Amino acid sequence: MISCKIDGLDIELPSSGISVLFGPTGVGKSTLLRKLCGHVPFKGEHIFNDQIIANSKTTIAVEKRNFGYLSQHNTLVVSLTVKQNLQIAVDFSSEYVADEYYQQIISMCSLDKLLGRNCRNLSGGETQLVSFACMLLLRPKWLLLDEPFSALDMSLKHRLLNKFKAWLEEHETPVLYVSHDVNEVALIADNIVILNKASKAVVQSYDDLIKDVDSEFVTQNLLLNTLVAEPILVGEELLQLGLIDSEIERLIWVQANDVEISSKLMIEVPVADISISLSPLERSSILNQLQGIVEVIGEEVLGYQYLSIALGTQSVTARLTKKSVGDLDLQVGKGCYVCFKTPRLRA
Amino acid sequence: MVDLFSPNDLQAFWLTLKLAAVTSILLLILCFPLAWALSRMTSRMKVLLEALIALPLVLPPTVLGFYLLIAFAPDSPLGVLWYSLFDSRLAFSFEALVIGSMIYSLPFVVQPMQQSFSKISTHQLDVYRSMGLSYWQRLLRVVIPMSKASIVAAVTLGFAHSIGEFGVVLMIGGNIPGETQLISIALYEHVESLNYADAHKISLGLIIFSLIILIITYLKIGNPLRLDGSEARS
Repeated sequence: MISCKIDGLDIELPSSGISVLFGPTGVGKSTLLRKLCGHVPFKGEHIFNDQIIANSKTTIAVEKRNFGYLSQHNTLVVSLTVKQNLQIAVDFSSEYVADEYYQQIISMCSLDKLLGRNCRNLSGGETQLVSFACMLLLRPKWLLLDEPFSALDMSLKHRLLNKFKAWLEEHETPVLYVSHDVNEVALIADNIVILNKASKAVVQSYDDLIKDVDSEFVTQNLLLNTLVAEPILVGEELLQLGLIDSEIERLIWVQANDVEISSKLMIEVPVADISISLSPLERSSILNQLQGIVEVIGEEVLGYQYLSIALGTQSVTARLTKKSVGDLDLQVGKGCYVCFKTPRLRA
Repeated sequence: MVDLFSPNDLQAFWLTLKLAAVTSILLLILCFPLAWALSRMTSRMKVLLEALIALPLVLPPTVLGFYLLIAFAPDSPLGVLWYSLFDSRLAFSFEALVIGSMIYSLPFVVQPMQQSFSKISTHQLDVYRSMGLSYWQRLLRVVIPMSKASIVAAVTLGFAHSIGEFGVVLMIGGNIPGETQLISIALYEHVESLNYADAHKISLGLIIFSLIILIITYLKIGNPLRLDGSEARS
């Protein structure tokens, strides 16, 4: 357990998994990270797995904490090559960096062809990849990443995040990850810490958060649902997928775009694209009609209501007009069909 | 070369090189911490310090030379202290030239370094602090590699500027051949005595020499790939 009381902000984080620090620009996400690293003084205490990192009496020197802090700015030594920058991380790593591990990180971050390059000549995305590789080589006991992939394109970012999740399963390092990209949050967050302007922090699991349909996160930020499915039928233009961990057969049709087909696929369904029907639509162009049960119905926000609908163990968030909810007499526990068109396969 | 220049001029030339070399090495040692401290300073004192350091840029060198001459006099506190420490006179000595020349070239060495150091944010250093680098390790592995080009530029400027020095050394040097007679003063003497042939030789020689130094420096600093900072690796 990582427990922090920082300038009136109480945050408790589990000591594994990715906790995403989410909030509007200027709310103090980066500053909080710097306080946790010890770069900025604060009032309160910071305890990491029963070890006192800082309180009013003692502090562990920043150099001795073995935290991996990745700033959102370019902090590479730009006059050196990529390889020389990585070497700094190797030299100060908490563990001996074996050749094999070094190569693994290089290929994970796609740095094979960049090693000899001078860091002055790297693009913003390449710079972030090198900095991130440094963090993994460092083997810190806590990773604090401040928008580490903001300059990467979507597909590269998703591929890297997937590899990162695999790395985390092997190395069991807790991560605090600053982001204001909701889609990124949906992909990686085990837990989410929402910072708001009132300097309050709410920590909850991502699954609980999206079921809290009255929360600001759902009503203002959440745009996409993410579902996990496995391929059942691979056609040339359309794929048929089955929802994973679903008791009844729930099939989804998606356009086969350039995504590599693996056993576990992520599907994106925009919140606003979901419509609810009480009976299956016959003679309709909408192919995707999944049986579900209404779990939560939110309060009205500007004429809309947000609903969470369970599809087996997974759930989707839908946005309906207040009139539709009333006309269909939707209530918690009621069965319905979740209908949507053009879901997208995520890279 | 020996035939081209008179023995006296050659001696003045070597003395000038020696002075420039000693001055720039001492200035590097002095200015690195000074520039670093200035780049990290946030108090109002910083402006005063910066102005003091920049003073030789705007003052006529003779003003500096005049005060140094008074300070170096045998009966001045500095002159007395020097005598008791080294058992020699400070005025009209090579050491006096070094001190004068260091003060004169100070801004040329401090400013490029300070500018470069200022570009290194506390933020960036914090990242390396978290990585476990101590203060000295951060200096050695982050600050120096990042500022290598500027450090080289600063020392070169200091060196070149010391070679071209005239006003200060004229006031405090005393023009003693082999001891304090520098090339710029030898040139001045030739012109005074209407010996234009030797004056031409020295002038042209200095132009070519300075040009070569500057070209080499620009070549080196202009190409960042050559500044791969391999020295910073352990």
